[in-house]
Amino acid sequence: MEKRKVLIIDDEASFIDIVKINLERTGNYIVRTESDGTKGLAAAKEFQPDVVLLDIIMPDISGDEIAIQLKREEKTKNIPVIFLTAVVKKEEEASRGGIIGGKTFIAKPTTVSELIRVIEKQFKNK
Amino acid sequence: MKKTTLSHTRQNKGSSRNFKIAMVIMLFFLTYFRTVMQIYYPENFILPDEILMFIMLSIVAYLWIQEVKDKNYLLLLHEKLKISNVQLEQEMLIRKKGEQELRTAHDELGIRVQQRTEELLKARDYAERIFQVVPSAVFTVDKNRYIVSWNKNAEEVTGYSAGEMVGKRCVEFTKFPCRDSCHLFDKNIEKPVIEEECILVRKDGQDIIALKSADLLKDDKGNIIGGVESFEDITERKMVEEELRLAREELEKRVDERTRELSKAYDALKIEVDERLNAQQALQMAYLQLKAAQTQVIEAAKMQIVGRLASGVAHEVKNPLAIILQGLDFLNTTIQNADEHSPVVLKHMSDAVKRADNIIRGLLDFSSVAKLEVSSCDINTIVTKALLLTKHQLDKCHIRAVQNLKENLPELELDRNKIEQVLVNLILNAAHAMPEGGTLTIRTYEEIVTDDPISAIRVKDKDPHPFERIVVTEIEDTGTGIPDEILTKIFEPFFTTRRNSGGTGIGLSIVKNLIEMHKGQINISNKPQSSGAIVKVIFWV
Repeated sequence: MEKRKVLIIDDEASFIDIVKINLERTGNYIVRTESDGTKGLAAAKEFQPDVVLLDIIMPDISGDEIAIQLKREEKTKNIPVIFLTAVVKKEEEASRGGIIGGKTFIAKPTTVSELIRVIEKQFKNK
Repeated sequence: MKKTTLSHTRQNKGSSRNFKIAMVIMLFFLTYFRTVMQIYYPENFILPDEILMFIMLSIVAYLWIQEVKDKNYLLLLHEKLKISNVQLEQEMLIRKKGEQELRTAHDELGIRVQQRTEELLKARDYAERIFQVVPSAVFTVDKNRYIVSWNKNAEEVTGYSAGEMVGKRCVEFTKFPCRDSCHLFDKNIEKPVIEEECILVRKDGQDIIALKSADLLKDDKGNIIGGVESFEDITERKMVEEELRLAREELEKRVDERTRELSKAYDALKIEVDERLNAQQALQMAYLQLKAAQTQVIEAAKMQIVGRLASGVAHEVKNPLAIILQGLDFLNTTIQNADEHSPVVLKHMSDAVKRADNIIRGLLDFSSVAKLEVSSCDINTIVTKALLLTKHQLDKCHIRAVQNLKENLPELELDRNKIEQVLVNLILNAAHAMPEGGTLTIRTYEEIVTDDPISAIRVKDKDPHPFERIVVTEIEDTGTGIPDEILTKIFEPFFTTRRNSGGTGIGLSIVKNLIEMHKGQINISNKPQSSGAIVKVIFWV
């Protein structure tokens, strides 16, 4: 099976480092991480990931704004985005099937297995 | 008797003498008659001398006998006269004595008459003085109403002197009512006139008002001999009285006016007071509503701040937790064989992260200021749904659920999902209180409660009403109950007795918050007679 490319944009450097390790250790993912929005946008165009994990609250550009810009770009508009958030409550995530306003969310903290389940769900939808 | 005898004797003596004189005259007349007859008629006269002589001798004889008889009689008379004289003298003596006594008596009588006269004069003088100085004007009239006396006060009052008035009729100086009718001499009445008002005319022509009293004067036999009248000038008094009456009328008029004004003012004041009372009540109500609204705003602001704070804290804490959880996952797959205890330690660490995450989530729930989505709901439907959602948990804990729901309860304006969340939370709490199993009873019913300040404030958007309809939902368990010292803290955030079994202490505070957002009320108490607690959730209709 071809490895899936995952781009993680999150200002929590430690978090993205560990997530990268955990995902790549499964042998199924190639992970690239960016800790600020601008670099993340550039990386998306260049890296052409299969999925983007996007933190919502970031210092320079918010996750929402990055998602909009990704949608605007021809090269990135079809890349599915999964929002990572520390604010959305677990119950809300569960009650709405992880979808808020048409977007997929993963509430922090989350386990590796849960993360993989959500990512894989995106591909199944395709 | 003696006098009679004497008089008779004298009478006899006198008649005898008269008879003798008559005899002599008769003898002389006879002689004269024979002579005349013989001169003028000598042939026709036939009276012989013998007859004449006989008549004359008879007369002389009779005169002689009478004379003798008279002498005896005189002797007898003399004797009698002597006796009579003696008697007369005695009688004279007696009479003199009587005369003396009579004179004495007469003298005494004279003295007494004089004394009496003096007394009478004094009395009359005294009466006259009284009559003159008596403080009223007084006059007397005879029975034909001619003035007899007129005292000084009468002079002063009327200006007429006694000299001018005595002898005149009283009606001449009176005007009313005397000229029309006299009340005193009216035979139909004949009783005293007491304090009758009348109008008199003074000498200067001015009318005066007098108050008069009068009575009839009668003699010993009760015959009317006149009248006495006293009068007093009350013109001034009447004027003062009239002025007083006018003043009183004016005063009464003013009092009436003032009373009417006061009454109007009172009515106006009453209306104003009522209006003010109404305004005060409205103000009080507005104040309560404002206070409630203010409390709500403050609470909302607080919650907003807490929400922001919680949100910020959640973000800041959840990220490290996410790192730790990812790290634990990594370690779990890499070092679990390094030590036999490694998996246990990692498991504890993982659980701790989840617990911390639970607390953060609870904090977010608590601070949630999401708006309610209110609609008309049947509380029984929500209760049934909540029981359905918790059925699995109750079955697992061997808890029997009993529903005692009153039918046809009034509909309530509620956020169905939030109240469902509340009831689920309360049912799970009750279940936690019965780890060994038991019975959970849910009741719903309606009640009418009297108004009180607390409920008036709680019923924030409602007009205060003496009676309030409420719908109560009771959740009763057969657990161990709640210690008294905990009862007061049970709604405080983060207060929990199940810290080690995953309790965060947020649930009941969220429940309370949600109920209060619905302007409801929640009470928790222990059952008085058996173990277990009762939670009452109250919503106003």
